[in-house]
Amino acid sequence: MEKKILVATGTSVHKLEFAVDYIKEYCVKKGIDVEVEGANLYTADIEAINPDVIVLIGPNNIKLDIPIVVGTPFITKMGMEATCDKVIQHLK
Amino acid sequence: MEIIKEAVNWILGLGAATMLPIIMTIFGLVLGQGLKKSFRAGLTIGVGFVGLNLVIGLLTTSLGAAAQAMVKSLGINLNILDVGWPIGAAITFATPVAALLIPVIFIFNMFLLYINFTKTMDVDIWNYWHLIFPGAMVYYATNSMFLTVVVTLVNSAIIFKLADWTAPVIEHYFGLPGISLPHGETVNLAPIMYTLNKIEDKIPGLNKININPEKLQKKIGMFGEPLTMGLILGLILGVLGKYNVANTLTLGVQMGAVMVLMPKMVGLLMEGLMPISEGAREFIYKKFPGKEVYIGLDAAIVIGNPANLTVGLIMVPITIVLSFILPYNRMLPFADLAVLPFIVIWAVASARGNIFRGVLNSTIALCGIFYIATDLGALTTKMGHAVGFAFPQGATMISGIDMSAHATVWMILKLIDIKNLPVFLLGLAAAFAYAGMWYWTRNDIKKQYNLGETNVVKEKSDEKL
Repeated sequence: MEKKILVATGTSVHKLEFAVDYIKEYCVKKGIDVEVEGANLYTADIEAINPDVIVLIGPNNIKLDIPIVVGTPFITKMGMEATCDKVIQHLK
Repeated sequence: MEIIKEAVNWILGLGAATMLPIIMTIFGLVLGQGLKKSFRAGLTIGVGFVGLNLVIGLLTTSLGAAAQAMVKSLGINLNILDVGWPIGAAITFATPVAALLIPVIFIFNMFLLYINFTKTMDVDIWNYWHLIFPGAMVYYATNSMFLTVVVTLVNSAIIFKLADWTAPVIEHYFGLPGISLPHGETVNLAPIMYTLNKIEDKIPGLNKININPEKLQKKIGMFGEPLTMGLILGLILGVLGKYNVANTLTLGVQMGAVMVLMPKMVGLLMEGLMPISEGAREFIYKKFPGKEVYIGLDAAIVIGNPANLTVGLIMVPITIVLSFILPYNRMLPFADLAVLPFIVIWAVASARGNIFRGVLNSTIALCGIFYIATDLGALTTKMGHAVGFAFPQGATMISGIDMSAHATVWMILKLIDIKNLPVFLLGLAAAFAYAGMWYWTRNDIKKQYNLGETNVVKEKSDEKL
């Protein structure tokens, strides 16, 4: 079954799309086959999406047993590659 | 030397739509973004500017006429039109001082970081408009370049410090570590909001009221959409101005159009500024590797949380009603009703999502904002004319809720009016009150999130206050 990354944020659609696209491209470059999805942190049904790892840009009110990686580098644009590496680690 | 001066004056005299592309292209090149990218970006900014000019023309003619009609039909004299923050930003970037102040503030921020006066690294060039705006206002009020630079730097230092102070909130309440919000007109309300919150904590009965409904936002969400807001407001204003049905409907559509078209033009401005923003960011990251800093970003990243959006929406009708009932107010709120979620950020955050307090404290803040808007109306209108925006001289004045939330700017303007004693004293009193509020609440953020020094004796004596 293909692994899934969920980017969850309450900031803006624009920033969400940026993060999703960046992660997608990074994974393609590294030869990793994974699905990357984006959703609004406050309205999404994360349990239903059932990702393998969550990239979170916003407050952590998630009460599920899914690994979370802090995604603020995608809005500061600093340290994005290191964050992607962390995400990939959790996929293993 | 003379030739250079002549050339610079010629460029600045071209008018914003033509001047900005040239200046921004130069900035882009200086920051290493390449000629093609910089030129395209600069041109996009110019186009955005032209577009904004079109929208403000529509806004002032249609809304201006409605305001005049309301004077006749209801005797309500709200002749200062809220044209919205985009116009404020555009005016600011179009003033000749902007070209100078952008690099000045940039270098100043680096300097303050270097001497560890602040931990905030403001990488959002778009944010800079909030820091340049005071400079622009001082320039048009005094014509002194010297005062302009000094005031801009002083105000920027204050804003950076406020950003540092509130950074723990961005981490612990908004869930965004390592980030601060040196966003002038929102963060400068923070000391006032924290003070109100602290007072409310002590009022028996009031301090127990807490509303945190997450479902509320879903229900009223549709009305928050700018398009709907514009339409409804237009229709209401048409009715109040005793327009006939056809004209009321037209006004509704025109206002809806303004609310939709304005952000699109702003989008162009932002798109144009992107390469410069990126260039500045890359430059900063290279110069300060590994230093512990707060990345300063635009407050737009925190308005999305439900409590904030809900309060922002509830404040729309409240703001409209306030504008009518406040006796000293002359501003007709309009375009900035869509950005009330920005204005309420610190009212909500200081109360940690308590919607009741968020609404209460925002309402108090707006009373002050309407006062500032009315007080500075002549100046903001002068600035609008000076940069060549197309709105009729005479009866119509322009301002905005967002522009008028620059409390620190207002205080500074009063303080530099030394010859006018009552005004100066007013500014002095306000500055003292503001400093007092900030001082009184200086540890509140740390306490709210259980951080920082645990000097038990000190905390106990603070509580007795």
